[in-house]
Amino acid sequence: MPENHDPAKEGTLKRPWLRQVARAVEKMLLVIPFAIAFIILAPLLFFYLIAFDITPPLGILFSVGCRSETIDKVSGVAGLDFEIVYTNCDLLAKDEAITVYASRGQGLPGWFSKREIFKYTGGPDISLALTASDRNSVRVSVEAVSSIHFARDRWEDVTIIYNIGHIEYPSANDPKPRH
Amino acid sequence: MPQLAPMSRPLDSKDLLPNDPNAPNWSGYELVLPDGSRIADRDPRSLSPSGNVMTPKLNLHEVAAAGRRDGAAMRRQAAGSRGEVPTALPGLELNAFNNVGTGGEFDYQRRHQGNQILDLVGDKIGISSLYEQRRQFLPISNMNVGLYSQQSGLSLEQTLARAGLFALLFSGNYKPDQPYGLDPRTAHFIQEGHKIGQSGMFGRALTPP
Repeated sequence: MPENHDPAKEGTLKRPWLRQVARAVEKMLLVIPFAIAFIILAPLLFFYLIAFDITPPLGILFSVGCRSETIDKVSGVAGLDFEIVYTNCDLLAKDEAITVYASRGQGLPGWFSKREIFKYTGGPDISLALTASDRNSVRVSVEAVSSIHFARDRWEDVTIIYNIGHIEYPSANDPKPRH
Repeated sequence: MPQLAPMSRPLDSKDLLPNDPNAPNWSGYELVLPDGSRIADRDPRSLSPSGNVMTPKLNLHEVAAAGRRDGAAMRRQAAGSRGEVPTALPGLELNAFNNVGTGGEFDYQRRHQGNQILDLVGDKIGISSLYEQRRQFLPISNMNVGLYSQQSGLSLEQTLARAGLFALLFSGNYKPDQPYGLDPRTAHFIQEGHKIGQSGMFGRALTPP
């Protein structure tokens, strides 16, 4: 028998596939928590998309770096209630936005009918006004914004008119600034 | 009769107190680069009393040094971990988060006292007193992201793509219609920081991979 003979080592070398299987199992064990998380979160994401009739980025679900604060609530403008929310997000990039939500009715029906109608990049210190032009139209006036995320022209039977003084970073789909 | 809903005005450039660094609305110092230039901040949302970027600390050299240090650490890890579990890139991302991420060392728009991760989790479960929001320092915080990333060896595209990916995964303000999904003002200041890094004013960056 040669020197330094190690039967255990020899046994392992004769079965290198065993080591490979062990490594594969080890890797699979690492994947399992992510797989479970995906299985739980995927249906939630699906129902979220259906419920809100929008295709949000995943960040809305996992907005860990965002802080939101309701700045104002306005009731009874053209039959709608409005909530104005300031959101500051900070992961690597830092930004802030104002979102105007519209809803109809109080309590649970109001909660279910709540929709985002207007979102722009801006701080809470820029004055915004909501006025009823007539029974079926609302005018959203804001003196200046940095940029616009989206602006719905219509929600249910209510037309939404925008009166925006200045857009610092305009894009093609923005409502036209007033003159 | 039209119904008006003027928004509350919690913070305005007129409200900023220039002489009290501990006040949440302290305006900070005007950022002056070694060549004497300033970075304009003329956005309608700007809280800068001077129209230029303001900062609570005049320490861009520290931001740059942290970027170089973390970039070098990532390369060392990558070189020494062939065939092992790749930890270099996650390590770089973690370092970036510690330095310029939420409540990080160079994230001046959110001031806090405790552990970065615990405060982030605490804030999400509703303990609102953990952070002091300092909106006036949002531009410099984004510039720090650009400078740190450039010095760690990332190109401008990689810097913006990384910031956009974080926004996509973790931010409600992701803008799918914009390049990299970033708000234009945010992207602008990240680019300004990256440009400062490229100028060599605060040392030479590692060569982009």
